[in-house]
Amino acid sequence: MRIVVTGMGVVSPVGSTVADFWKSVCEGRCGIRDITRFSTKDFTFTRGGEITDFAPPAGLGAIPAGTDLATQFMMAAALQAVDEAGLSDMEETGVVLSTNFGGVAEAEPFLADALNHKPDPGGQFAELSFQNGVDRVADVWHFMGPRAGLSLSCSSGGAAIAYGADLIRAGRTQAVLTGGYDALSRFAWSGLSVLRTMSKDAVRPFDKRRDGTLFSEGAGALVLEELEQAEARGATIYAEVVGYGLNNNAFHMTAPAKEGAGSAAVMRMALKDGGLQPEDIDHINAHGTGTKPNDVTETQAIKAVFGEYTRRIPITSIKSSLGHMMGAAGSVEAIASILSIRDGILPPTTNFAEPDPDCDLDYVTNTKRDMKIRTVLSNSAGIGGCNAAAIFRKVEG
Amino acid sequence: MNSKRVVITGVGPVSAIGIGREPFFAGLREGRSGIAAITSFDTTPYRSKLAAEIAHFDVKEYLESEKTYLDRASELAFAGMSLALEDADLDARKLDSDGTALLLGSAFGNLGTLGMFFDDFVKKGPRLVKPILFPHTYSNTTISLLAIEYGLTGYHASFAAGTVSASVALLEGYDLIRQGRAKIALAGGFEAFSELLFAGFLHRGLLSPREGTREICAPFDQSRNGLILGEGCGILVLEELESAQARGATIYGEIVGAGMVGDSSVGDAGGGNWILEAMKRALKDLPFDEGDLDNLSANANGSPILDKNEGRAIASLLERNSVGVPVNSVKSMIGETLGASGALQMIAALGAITDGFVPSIHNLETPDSELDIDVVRGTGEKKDVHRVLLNSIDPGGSIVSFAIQGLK
Repeated sequence: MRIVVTGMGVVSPVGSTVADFWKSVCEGRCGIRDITRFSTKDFTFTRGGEITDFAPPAGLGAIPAGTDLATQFMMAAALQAVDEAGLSDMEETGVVLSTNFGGVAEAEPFLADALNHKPDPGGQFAELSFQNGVDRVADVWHFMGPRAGLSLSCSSGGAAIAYGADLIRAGRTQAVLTGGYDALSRFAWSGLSVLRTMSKDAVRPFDKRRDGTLFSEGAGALVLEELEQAEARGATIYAEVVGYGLNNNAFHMTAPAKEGAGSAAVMRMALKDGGLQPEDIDHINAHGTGTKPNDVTETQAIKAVFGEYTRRIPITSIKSSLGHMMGAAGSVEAIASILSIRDGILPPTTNFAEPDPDCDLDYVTNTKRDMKIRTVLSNSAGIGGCNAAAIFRKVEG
Repeated sequence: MNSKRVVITGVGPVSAIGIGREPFFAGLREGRSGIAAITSFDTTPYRSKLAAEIAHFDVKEYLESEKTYLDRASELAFAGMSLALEDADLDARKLDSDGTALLLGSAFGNLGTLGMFFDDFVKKGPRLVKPILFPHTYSNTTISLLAIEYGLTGYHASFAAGTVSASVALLEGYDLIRQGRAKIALAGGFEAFSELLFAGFLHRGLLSPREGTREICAPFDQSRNGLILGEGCGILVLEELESAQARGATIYGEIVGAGMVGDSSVGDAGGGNWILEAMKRALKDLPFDEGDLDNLSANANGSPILDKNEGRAIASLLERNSVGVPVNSVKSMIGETLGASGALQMIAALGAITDGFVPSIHNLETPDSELDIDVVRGTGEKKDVHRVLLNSIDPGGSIVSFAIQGLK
């Protein structure tokens, strides 16, 4: 069975349509700014990819009261993808979404009250359930297919694609709306700050001066569909999801595995799943967070998997422009990967000035590269040692 | 696509009526109730006072190596995993990592630690929070800790799918093995009880009692007035039949069908029509029909509307049968364990198959007169149980049904 992508949607700090997002990423526009959503007065790190111009699109109808901003991002991205795929009447569409923090911001008042044993707490307890976000999205179209939330930290977006594709492969449904989402919130920021993975100013993937990542917000949505059905109904086919993998380093909660062993294994898992060889991959859209350990271990993992072919695989990380969109990162990076296939453009890894001898691959630095490609691997990893990789290929036709 | 057969070769139940296979099965046979006055916090400010907490639980018995910190949800999951592996006679470190999937779900994950971290942050500010707590607030922390503990580097997914979380994980394991993509799946779910969880459910009006009624968990009873929360974990070892037989594993049963759909009207009066669809899909590929079922394990937890909608769907599925199919709900014994519930229900169904006994629905005095179903009352029903249909329903609209049977 072949599975293809027939619709996409993005809400991001550099654009909240697929076209705007892609233009910005290709131009290397940066979405990082001083955070205004909550007071950063007591925080060491104060910059992130905040979306400042978001309004829920009219096509969503009335947003239920108490719906967290993160969930609204996801609903808006989903609307773009479903509209584009022409899926709104397909009753049995499944919904598979992933997030790190879900609607925790709307739940903060509940937490504060309930922790003080107030019998009638305020805020939105329901937003602490990630399934709630899935239901909100499914309810826009009254979809009756399988629905489930996932949470695999920063590999979440990739995991949603994998599980969504699994549902189609298992014959549980013919189309799945998948996506990842997250928002900047006081809760998330208080936690992310203690991880000590953030930079004070900018994300510099693979650069010797890199000093951390910066978190941002938004959502990415992809409609996955069984190929024959997509063809039969004349849908636009962006690319095929040719193989994917999900795994765990089984090593440490926060430190990457030695020499990127888990990341290498998940890329191999994706190649094997797609019946591909290393030489079949034309481009890698990397996790590239801009932290010291991630970028070097990811480089090692790529070399371990691709061996002699490594030198001719251009690699990019769009986190330099977007920041790290947490649960949405895997989804929007998958979308960028697919657009690279469509347009023959590899978006740049910006903020690059000083090569690191330990990161010695062909990175697409500072300006986009024009290159016709057929097959892209999108790589993700997250806290807890979870990894995801998905491979997209052009559908000739 | 149905080329491989999927059997269950190990179970790790952690519940208020028993921890581990035999104690849990005994709890079901004896009709124990795990529901009691809450002891983990002071219930004075609250209208509800009961829950199915797990008393006398010490995670140290289940750890391979010492831990500096674990959320209670992780503790329950460590126990479930250790018990399931032991029950299946498997050494996780000797498993083929490529062929072993780890699939778990939880509705609220490590909510207790999330609350502790937030409290710390509010009281002390971001610079003085305890850094160790934050990584334990993630929903996927538990599965990651288990992967590290047992060296499980294979296919890996952590579901946060409300009440159907464990069922979604089990379904994914079933599908992966069926398709030959995994030989073994360690799958299930877990949920910890906490004051935060309790306060949230109470605030949403989901807990028993309602104004002027008695606090009770009475699925399908005329007087049902809400659910009572529980906690626990259920992990099952799913295995491809031939490889299970080749290693001489004990086989408790086989998953023979499943259905998964969405229907946001499950919580609306007169809604939930697709509960029937999920059950039909679970039976669709089988050489038998609904008349050959020996037991139906319901999702019912005492919720006024959800129980009604499920009961109606069950009645509709079984209406052509001349012989009644006994319907039970273990939630009246172990409470609503949310993300663990689908797995604990499946383990309980394997208990019914093993012991030839269907436990009764506790607190069922006057069955809902609008529901034409054969509910199990009194001390339970002794009978040969071969085929069981299970329902798992999230009030937001996700529905999973499984058909399982004993291996003759």
